[in-house]
Amino acid sequence: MFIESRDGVLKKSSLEVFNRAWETSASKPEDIAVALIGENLDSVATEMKNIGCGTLYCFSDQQLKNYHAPYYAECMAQAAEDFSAEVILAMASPMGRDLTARLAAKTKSGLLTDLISLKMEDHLFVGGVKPMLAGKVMAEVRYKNKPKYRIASFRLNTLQSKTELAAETVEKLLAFSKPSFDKSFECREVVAGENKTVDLTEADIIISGGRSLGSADAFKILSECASVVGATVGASRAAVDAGYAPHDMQVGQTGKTVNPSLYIACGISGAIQHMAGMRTSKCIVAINTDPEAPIFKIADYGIVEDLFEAVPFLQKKLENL
Amino acid sequence: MKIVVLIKETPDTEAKISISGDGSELGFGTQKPIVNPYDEFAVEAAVSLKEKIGGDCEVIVAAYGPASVKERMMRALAMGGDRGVLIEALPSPIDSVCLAQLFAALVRKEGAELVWCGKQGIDNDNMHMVPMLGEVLGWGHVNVVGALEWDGTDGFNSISREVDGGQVEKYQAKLPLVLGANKSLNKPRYAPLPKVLQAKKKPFEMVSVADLGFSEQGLTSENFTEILNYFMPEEKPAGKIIDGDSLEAKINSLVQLLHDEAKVI
Repeated sequence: MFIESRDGVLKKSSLEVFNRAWETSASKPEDIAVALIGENLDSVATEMKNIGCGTLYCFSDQQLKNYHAPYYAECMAQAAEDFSAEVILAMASPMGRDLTARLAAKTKSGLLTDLISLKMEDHLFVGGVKPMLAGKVMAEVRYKNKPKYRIASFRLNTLQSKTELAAETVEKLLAFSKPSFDKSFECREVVAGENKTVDLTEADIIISGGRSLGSADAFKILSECASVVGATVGASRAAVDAGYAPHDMQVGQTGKTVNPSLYIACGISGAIQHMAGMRTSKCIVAINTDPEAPIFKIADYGIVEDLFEAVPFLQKKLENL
Repeated sequence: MKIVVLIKETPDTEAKISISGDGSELGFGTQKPIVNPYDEFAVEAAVSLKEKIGGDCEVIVAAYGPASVKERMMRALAMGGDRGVLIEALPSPIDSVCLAQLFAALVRKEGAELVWCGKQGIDNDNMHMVPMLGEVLGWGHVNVVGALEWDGTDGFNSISREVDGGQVEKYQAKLPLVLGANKSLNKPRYAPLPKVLQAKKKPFEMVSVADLGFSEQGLTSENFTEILNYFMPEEKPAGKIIDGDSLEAKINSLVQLLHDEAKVI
């Protein structure tokens, strides 16, 4: 498994891949291995040892400080070879998706991307289900023709249940051996975004606003309510196009696909493209003054009220919980 | 300098989707297919770079598909592509790793130094082609590019890759390179009628996988994934509009339901 970290900090959502590893039959510690790639990996490695992750490969090098697809793929290939792996897993984060794709081409393997569930046959991981066409259709996909590795990335927040895992850790330090890649290519820096909250794709609770917010300032109403429950704020395309929210807050077909436990849509009418991005949310709440708004068709709970009154009230109620 | 732009044909985003009885095929009604929306940003990026460089720069529009895909490629040619190459699709599907091999062979054959492509196809949302093609060619790649600056000679500064948490990875790289365009990169130009008509006269060729050094047998035996069938996601059962005498009452009910019934807070 690839466990993601940046600047020596473990990406917690990456740990969901552990559950997937156990699901694929690896029931013994000697069946699983984790690869960490970066520069200052000491504290991440310690966290992994505390969790217990079977064999732990740490590739630590100054040249690995930032994501470098050819180098990171080389590390994964080396670890997989050393471990005699059959299956290679990662979460479908931007890095996970990119790395598994580069790795699949490098090792001529089968790659299934963004799986929401996996399928076992005779104790073998053979395939799973993935969304297509922005989630409008599901596809049952599987490996064929016996690839060298069966590689998969999993969509965040799609586990049905979490299992407790514990495994001893055996650390293996493989030195990063640079592949023959002679091109002038590097990630110079990673610039932090304005929003320091949990990424929409990883958020457990999302409060989203539509064009009815009327201004960028009005989104403060949502972020104040959001901070009470640790939610992340999202926006519809209409709100983004109107300049009320930046593109990285957009939820929908041309924005982000999200999968929270709770999605509260405020003043969002529910265009098909928006719903494509959030329909898999476990619970959907819609607040809108228009009772005919399409969003009410997919909402579990609907409130026909003005968001400018409803949201502050909701915030107060949540504060008192 | 040669730039290859890869485009693909996808169903219209508004098309109503149906699934055949046995789940093996998707139908899209009578809507004509379109150029994958993200590929339009790639075409625009390639054409504007050509205009910036001037002189000896050629934009080759390439695709893999049946002969009917030619119509889609006309749009890219009308926007400023110089010629089109369509790799004739095999009768049975091949996966992204195989397709990357084919495109790499074409890129090498053309002696191109830069490949532009959309960040993902809106049909499978895989985001495979950019990293896979980069790997097969042995070049660097940056996908989900929202901004970048041509350095004036042979590379790019500040190639911005949008990742999670609102973060942006900034790359510097020289050619050769594979880049994947995101929506924020540019505004694809409108191609007026004269350009559309000119496009039909631009050089266009169809090549077979054999022309690129591959056999159908070889490719299908290295096809390591497949789609077994399609199905519609579960429809959520209808929810309820919360009743109440006042806003206060409704919100109170909501919070209680979220806590007790949905158990999400």
